[in-house]
Amino acid sequence: MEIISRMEEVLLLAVWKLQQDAYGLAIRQHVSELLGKELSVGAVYIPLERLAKRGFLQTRESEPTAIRGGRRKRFYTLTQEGMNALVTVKKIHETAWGELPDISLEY
Amino acid sequence: MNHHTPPIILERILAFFLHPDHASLLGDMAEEFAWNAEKRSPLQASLIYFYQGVRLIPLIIYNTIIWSGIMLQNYFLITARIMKRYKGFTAINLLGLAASMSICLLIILFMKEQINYEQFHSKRERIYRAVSTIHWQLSGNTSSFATSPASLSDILQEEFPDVENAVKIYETGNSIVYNNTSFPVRCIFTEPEYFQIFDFPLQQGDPAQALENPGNIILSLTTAEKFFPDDDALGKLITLEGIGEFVVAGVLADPPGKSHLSFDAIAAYSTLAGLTQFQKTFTAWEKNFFSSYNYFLLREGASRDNLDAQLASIHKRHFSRENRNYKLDNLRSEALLDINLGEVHGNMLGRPTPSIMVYIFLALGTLIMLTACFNYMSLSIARSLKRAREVGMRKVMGAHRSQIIRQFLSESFFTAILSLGLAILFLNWLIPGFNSLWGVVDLNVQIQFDFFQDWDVYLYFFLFSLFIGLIAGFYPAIYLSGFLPVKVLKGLKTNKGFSGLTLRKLLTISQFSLSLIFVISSIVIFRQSNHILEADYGFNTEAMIALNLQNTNYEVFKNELASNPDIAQITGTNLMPLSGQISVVTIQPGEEKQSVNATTYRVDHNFLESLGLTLLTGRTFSEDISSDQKNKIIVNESAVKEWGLGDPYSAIGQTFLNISDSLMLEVIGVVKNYNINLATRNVDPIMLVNDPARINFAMVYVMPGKTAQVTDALEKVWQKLDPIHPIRYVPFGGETIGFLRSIFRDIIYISGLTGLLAVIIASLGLLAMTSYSIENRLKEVGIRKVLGASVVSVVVLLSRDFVKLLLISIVIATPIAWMLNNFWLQEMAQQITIDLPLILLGIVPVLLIGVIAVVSQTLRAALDNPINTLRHE
Repeated sequence: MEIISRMEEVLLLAVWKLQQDAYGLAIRQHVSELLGKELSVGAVYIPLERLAKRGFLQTRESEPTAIRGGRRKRFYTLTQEGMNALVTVKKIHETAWGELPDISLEY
Repeated sequence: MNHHTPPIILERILAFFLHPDHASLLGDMAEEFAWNAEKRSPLQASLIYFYQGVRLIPLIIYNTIIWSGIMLQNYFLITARIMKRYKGFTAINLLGLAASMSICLLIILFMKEQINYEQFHSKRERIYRAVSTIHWQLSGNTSSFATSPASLSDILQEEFPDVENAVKIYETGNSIVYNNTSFPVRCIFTEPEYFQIFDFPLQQGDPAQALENPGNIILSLTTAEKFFPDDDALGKLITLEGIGEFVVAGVLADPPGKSHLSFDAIAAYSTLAGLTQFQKTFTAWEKNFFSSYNYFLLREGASRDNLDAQLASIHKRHFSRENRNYKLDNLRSEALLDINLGEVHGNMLGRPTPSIMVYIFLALGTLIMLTACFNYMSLSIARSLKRAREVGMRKVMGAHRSQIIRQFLSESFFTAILSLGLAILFLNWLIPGFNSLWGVVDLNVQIQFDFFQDWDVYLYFFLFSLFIGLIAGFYPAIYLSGFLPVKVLKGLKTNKGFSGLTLRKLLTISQFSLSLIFVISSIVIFRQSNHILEADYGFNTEAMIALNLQNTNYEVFKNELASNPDIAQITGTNLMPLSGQISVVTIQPGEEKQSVNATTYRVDHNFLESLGLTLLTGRTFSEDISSDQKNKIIVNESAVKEWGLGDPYSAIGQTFLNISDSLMLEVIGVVKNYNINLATRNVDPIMLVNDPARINFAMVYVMPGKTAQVTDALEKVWQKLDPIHPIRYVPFGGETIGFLRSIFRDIIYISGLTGLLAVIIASLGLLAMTSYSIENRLKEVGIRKVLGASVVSVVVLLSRDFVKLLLISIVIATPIAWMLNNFWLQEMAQQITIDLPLILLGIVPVLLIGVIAVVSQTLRAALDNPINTLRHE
C-alpha cells in the first residue's frame, strides 16, 4: 500500500470535510485557509487530478452555470480507497508520534 | 443575476493553451473572479485572475509536453493508415507536391549560392568600386560603366584620407601560350594591394611579393593544372599572347566562396608601364577608361557619402574633359556586396549575376508552389465525403475541433515531408540539367551541391516543406473539421457548401491553357532552331568549311591549297556573314552630302561566285585588274535604295569618300540582297570591298564527297603554317548561331519542363474536381445503371462537363500560342510556319492526359456495382 503525501492528505481531508460542496475553488479556498497561504490553481488541480486517477477520488460534473462562464463544476467525492489511504496515514502518524520518548527527557 | 466576468482576452488565451479537459478549472477561476469583483474591485479581481493565470504556466507546459507526444504518435499512425488505404490519391499528392517542390529546392539552392557571394572577404563591408556614367554626345543617351579612369585610385588615395587602400585593375582578354599549346584565358593586371583588400588565398607563392615585380603572373589552380598537369607551375615561363613573357610567381587556391572576381590569370600591373603597346594607354584617361577598374577600401567608420562627394569633386577637377564622342558625366561608388545581383553596367568585370534572374526565379517558384498547394487542397476536399464519417465519429467520441484540425494538418505535414524526400531525389536530375544550361554556364551561376556534405541546406529544405505543409493543409483542415457530427453520421450531404466550383473551373481552364501555350511554344522553338541551320539565306553554305585564320596570311594559306583537286573554291572575308559581328565604315556620297554608315565586308575577288550571290548589274571584282583592290566596291539593293543611288543601273560608277582613310570608292556592281543577320529580316546596306590583306576567315568549298580528304589537307597545311595555335573551324553562322542555338536550347528546356509541370499540375486539379463531383453523384450513377444505362453512356455523361473545360482551354490557348510565337518568329530572317499539324502535335498529348485524368475517375464510378451505392437506401 502506497503512502500518500502530506499535501494529498490535506486535499483528501478537505474533500471529506466539504462533502457535497467539494469542487476546485471551494477546496482551494479551504486548504489555503487551513495552511495560511494562498495556493495557485495549478497547485491544487494537479494533485486533485492525480488523486482521482489513482482512484482515491471520484469526479462528477454539475450543470453549467452562468457565473462560471457556462462551464461545469467538477465535484470530487472520497472513494473507499481514498478513505483507506487516509486511515493508513493516520495510523502511521499515531504510531510514529506515540512511540516517541518524552522530549524533555532527552536533555 | 448580473455578475462580473473575467477579462475576455485573458480567458481566451488561457482556454487556448489549456487542455480541453481543464474547462472546469477555467470555471472555477471565473467564479472566483466574480466573487473577488464583488468583494474587492473588478481591477483587483483582474489582477488576481492574471496572477493565477501566470501561475498556471507550469501546468500548461507539463500538459502540452505529455499530450503533444501522445497525440503526435497517434496523428502519424492515422496518417500512415490513411495513406495506405488511399494509395492512388497519396501517390498523386506526393508526386504533385514533389514535382513542384523540386523546382523550389533548386531555387533555394540558387539563392543560397547567390547570398554567399563575396562573403569570404573579411573587409567586405568596407570595399567599394568606382562606377562611371558616360554621356554619348551623338545620341544624347547615357549609360553606366563598371570601368573608371586608371588614375582614379591614385588621386583618391592621395586626396582622401578615408581611403585606406586602393587597387587598379586592367582587364585584357588574351591567350596563354606554353610549350606550343595555347588557351584563351580571362586575365587581369593588378597591383599587390589586390591581396590586401580581397581575401583570395594563394596556394603557392607570397601574396605580398607575387605582383611586386613586372613580368610576374599568378595562375588560377585550374589554369596551372591545365598547363602543368604533373609539374610545379612556380617559376615557369609562359607567354601572354600579344604582351610578352611572364614568370609564374604564384598559384591561386580555389576561393573559399563565390566572387565576381574570378579570373584565370592575374599579372603584375607594373608590367604594363614597361610595354610599348601600353605606353599611350596611360597618357590620357580616355585611352584606358573602358578597361580600367578601381576598387578601394574605406577606413573603419568612414562614411560612404563623403566618398561619393569626394568622387564628384575629383570628377570635376580631373575628368571633366569632353571629346567628340562622349563625356564622363559622373563618378560614384558601388559597394562590393551590391555588385552581385546588383545594377547592370557596361563592361562588367567578372561575372556577377543579374538581379532580374532572382526575381524571375522567385516569381516562378511562388507560382508553381501555389498552384501545387491549391491542387492539394482540392484533392483533400474532393475526398471529404470519405472522411466526413471519420470526423463525425471523432467528434462524438469527444474530440475537439482543434484536435481534428491538428490531425489533418499533421497529414499534410507528413505528405509534405515525404514529398520533400522525393523532391530531393528529383534534384539529382534537375541540378545537372540546370548546370548544363548555356545561360547558367555563361553567367557562372552553376549550383554546386553535394548531397552528402552540405547538411545545412537540408534544414532550409525541411522548414520549406513544413511551410508548404501548412499552406496546403490549412484550408482542408479547417473545412473538414467543421462537419457537424449529427449531419454527417446520418448521411446528410453537408459539403454542398463548397462553392468554389466556378473558381476551380476557371483555374483549370487557365492551367490547361498555360500548359498548352508552353507545349506549343516549345515545339515551335525546337522546329525553328533546327530550321535556322537548313534555311536558305540567299547564298551557298553547302559543302563549305570555314576557318578562322588567326594570324596566318590569307594569300599564303590560299596558295598552299591552290593545287588541291578536292577543293572547288577558296574565298575569304574579314567577317563571317550571319556571325552577328559587323564592321561599319562611314562614307560620304559627295562633297556636301550627308555621310552614311556602310556595313563593310572585305572579301576576296571570287566571293560572289563562291557564295552563289546574284549580281544584278555591273561586274564583279577581277583578279586581273589591280585597281579593283580597295578602290572598287559592290553594294547591295538596300544600299541602292537607302543611300539614294536611284536604281541599280544608275548606281554603277557613283563614288564615295571613305572618311577614315580618304580613299575614293567607286561602285562597280550591285548584288541582290542576301541575309547577313540571323535575328532580323531587314537587310542593312552592305558594301563589299576587295581587300585580301585584311581577310580573317577562309571559306573552303569542297568537291562533292571529299570533305574528309579536304579536312585532312587543311589540318596538314595548318600544322605547317601555324604549329602553335590549334586549327579553329568556324561553325556556319559563326559564334552567333552557336549562341542562338544555346539560347533556343535553354528556352526549349525551360519551357518544356514548365509545360510538363503545368500539365501535371493541371491534370491533378482536373482529377480532383472530377472525383469530387463524382463522389456527389454516386447514387445518381447507381440509379441510372439500375434503370439500364450502359457503362459508356455513364462515362460520357460524367466526363462531358470536364472535357468541355479542356476544349475551352484549347480554344483559348491555340490563338494565343499562335500569336505569341509569330510575334518573335517575324523577327527571324528565316522562319517556319505554324501550321495545323504542329499545333495538333502540342494539343493532342495534353488533351490525352486531361482526358485520362477525367476518365480514370468516371470509369471507376461507372463500373461500380449499383448495389454498393444504393444498398443503404
